[in-house]
Amino acid sequence: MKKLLSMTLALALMLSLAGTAMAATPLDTLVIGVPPMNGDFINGFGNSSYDAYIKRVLNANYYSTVYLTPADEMVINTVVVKDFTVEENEAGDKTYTWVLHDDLKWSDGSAITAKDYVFGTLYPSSPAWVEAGASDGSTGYGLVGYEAWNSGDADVFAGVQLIDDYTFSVTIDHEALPYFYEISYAGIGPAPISVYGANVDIVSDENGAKVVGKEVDQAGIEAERAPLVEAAAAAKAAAEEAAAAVKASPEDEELVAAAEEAQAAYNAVRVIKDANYAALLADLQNVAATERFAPSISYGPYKFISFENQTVTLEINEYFKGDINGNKPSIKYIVQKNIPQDTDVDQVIAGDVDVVTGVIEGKKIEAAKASDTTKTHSYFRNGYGMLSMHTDWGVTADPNVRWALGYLIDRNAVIDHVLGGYGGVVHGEYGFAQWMYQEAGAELEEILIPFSLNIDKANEMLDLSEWKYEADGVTAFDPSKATADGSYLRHNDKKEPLVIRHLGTVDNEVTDIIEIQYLANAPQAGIQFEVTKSDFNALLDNYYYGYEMGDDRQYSTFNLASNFGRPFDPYFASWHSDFAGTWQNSTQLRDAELDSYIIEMRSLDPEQKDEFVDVWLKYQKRWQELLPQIPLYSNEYTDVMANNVEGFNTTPFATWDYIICEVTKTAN
Amino acid sequence: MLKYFIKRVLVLIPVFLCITVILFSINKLMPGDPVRAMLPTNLKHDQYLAAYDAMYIKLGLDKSLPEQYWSWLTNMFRGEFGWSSMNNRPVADVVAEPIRNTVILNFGVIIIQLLISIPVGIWCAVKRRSVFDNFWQVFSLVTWSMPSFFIALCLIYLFSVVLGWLPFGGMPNSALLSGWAYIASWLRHLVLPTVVLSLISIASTIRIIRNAMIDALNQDYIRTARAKGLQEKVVIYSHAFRNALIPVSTVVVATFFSLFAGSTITETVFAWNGIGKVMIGAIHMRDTMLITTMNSFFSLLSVTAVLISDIVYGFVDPRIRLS
Repeated sequence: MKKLLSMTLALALMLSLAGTAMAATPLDTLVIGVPPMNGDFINGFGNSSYDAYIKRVLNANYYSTVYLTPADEMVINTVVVKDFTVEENEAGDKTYTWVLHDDLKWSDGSAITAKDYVFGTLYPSSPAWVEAGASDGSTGYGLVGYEAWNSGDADVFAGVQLIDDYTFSVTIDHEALPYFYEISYAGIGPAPISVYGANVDIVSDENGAKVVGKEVDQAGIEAERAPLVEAAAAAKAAAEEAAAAVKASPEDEELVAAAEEAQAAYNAVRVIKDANYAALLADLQNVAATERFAPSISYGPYKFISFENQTVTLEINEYFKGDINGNKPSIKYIVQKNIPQDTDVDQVIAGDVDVVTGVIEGKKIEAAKASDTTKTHSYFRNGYGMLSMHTDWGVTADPNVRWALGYLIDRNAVIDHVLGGYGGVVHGEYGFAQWMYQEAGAELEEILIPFSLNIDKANEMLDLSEWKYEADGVTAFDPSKATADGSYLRHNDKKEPLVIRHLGTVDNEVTDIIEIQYLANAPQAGIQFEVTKSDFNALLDNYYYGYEMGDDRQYSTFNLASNFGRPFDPYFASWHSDFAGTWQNSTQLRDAELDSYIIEMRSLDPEQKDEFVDVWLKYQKRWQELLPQIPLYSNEYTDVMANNVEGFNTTPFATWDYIICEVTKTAN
Repeated sequence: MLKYFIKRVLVLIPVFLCITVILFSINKLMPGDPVRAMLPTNLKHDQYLAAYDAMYIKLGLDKSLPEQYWSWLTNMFRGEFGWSSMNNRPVADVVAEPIRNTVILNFGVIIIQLLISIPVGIWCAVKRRSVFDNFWQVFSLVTWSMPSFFIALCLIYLFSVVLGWLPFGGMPNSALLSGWAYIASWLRHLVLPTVVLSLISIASTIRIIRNAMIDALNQDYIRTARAKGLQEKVVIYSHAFRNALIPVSTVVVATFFSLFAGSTITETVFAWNGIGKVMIGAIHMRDTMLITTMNSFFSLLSVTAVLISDIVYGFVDPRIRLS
């Protein structure tokens, strides 16, 4: 008994030592709570939004020649650019020559030069970067010679020139012009060649810029390349010949197999892997193994200290010159850490963390607003949650069926029940914060159909489709006979019932409410709506790659959420039929009219904003007519922060990493 | 004893191999494309096709299933545990830190569990139906019945929200703390998850020990020992407890091997960067290589735990090793 008592006393003593009242976070540290991170902190790896905050605050936007402001405008970055010229040649190619300030520095104090900017264009667009395991970020897209460099056909990037220590140029291909966001093609950021390309150098002449191995004998390179180029050309010819044969006889399985083999053989030799390529690849593989997890150098307002146990620590970069407004960070440390998500707002209220961002749950937002220790800042998401449909396969290939689904859900209920009222309904592919909506929102609302739950309209749409019969495939479907138990279904003339299979994720309130609503409403329109819940990876697999699943393909509708690209270019958002048949066009939409509006929008001159809005309105109308997605909600995001955090002015286009130089912490 | 030990080890080998075959088969049967899971996003279509072909060969999927199994097994014993598609890095790199954190958490749990449950279990058996015994019976029943997340949230509410004494969860930050401040931060973050796990493990262990002791105390040799005039302490610890050691040793051995086992729910509630949380993330993201490798590791631990239990039985109960 005495032993038990003394053990209890010892435990109480330990508890008291550990459990003295928690101090608020230090004034020199901003603690941000997030869900789990992957630990990928350079571009090219990972797709976690929370990793992306760190990537951007270390090495994005701040020193790009073209700066994307929190108001979603592209401006010349005068912090970086001392001077620039734009020249157009006879062919229509436009050359932007950038003259840099000579006072830019990396976080280790070394100078940032034009060579870093050229390297920052060459390496991420090189096939060596993909071979090192990274994603292709489309750096350099639109520049002269991009395709040849990116595919590995050429060992020089024709549209990039290193002129002197602080001058370089990029030439936009006339075929990519006119482009409404032309200046984005010339927006280049630096990469530390001293770290990422320690064993390579940049050589530039009238043919363009290339990466060469420092230890490689350049005199012998052409002789080394010649047989490789020849082999690639031969393989390409064989692949093209095999593809032509398949085109002539697409049913011949032997020819199809031979064509696949020929293509694989060409893919294997397409990239000319000479000694220079090997040197660059070795460096980039080292980057992928080291810098990726612990960036040793950066140019942004903060530098990386550590990532341990789901906690990233950053420290002020004393060499940072300032953001576009000349602001420098004032908080010495940033700690971004994984915290339990169920209690994230409670932790801000209690003082455990300073900020949590992107809160969407109504109850949490109300708790934060009611608290004396916190304040909130709200803004609309630059995106929406949606029910997305495959338009190339199954029953949802018919737009009337898609519209019927649009009329079978009460989207306001989604906002009320899931978001606690913190969100809005949109009727097309737009967000309230976009500048186009700001200018022409009223006009847009007039031309779009504000569809909502309407069983009669759903039946009307289905009567226009092939699913207008009873089980005999002949007798017209009678909506008055439809019952809640789904025993009276629509059929086509082949007597096939109208069954829609939906895939959502587990532990997802939106999936739950879709299930509740459609299971209740769909039978009233003669639809059998089946919901399967799976993990997120399975959803993405079926959503993006359904087109290659053959007989295994099952699902035609999915619920997920997405943000709009910056800048807004529906071509890169992959609504254009150029991307049909690839994962990039996730709904597999093919529509000539929509394609024409997409091309028309992006082909305007940057000054033609009014014209852009006019075409954008036509684009929205046509998009809604096709309805490849049912926008379910446009969230209102709320950032919750401690009262002593000032200047946390996030926007729909700017998360904390964009505005960190304006943020301060005051004493309570 | 040596023969006994060798026999047990020889049985362990085919058991472990059977488990690896089952795990490998489950891995192969899981839906989803393991190649696509390994590829980076944002590849252009041509790049995707080329990368897919290259990854297919790199993962050895062009080989037959038996070849793939053998390759996987031999690589595992060489310390090459494959590639985590979720994290796009070697599995060994992904699990090293979480396993360490889980061991640290579980170490405290095990110490508290054994220090409390063994003497309490013994005393409950000795003082059967007393107030002390009744209290611990009710305590263990209630605690064992409550879900761990419920206990966790109650403790968070009391100690973090109301009192503000302890953090809600997460891990200490080594970058900004050092020395005693860092140790204190570790202790602060360890308290609540340790208490949650300890409460649940104590509840079950007390009952096992109490029941084993009651069985032993009801035996004739205990009456004989008391009739011989031995001190009660000697009767309890040298005679009764010694004979109750078989079930107790099972619990103790299993407890030590559970050092590495992650407590998924508790680690998730407290955002403790342990192996349980990593495993649940791997399951959600279909990181089949990480799941398979860790399950193989846990299987090896379980099989080893059974082996060590058997050996301990041999020492504890001479009848077992003599038979």
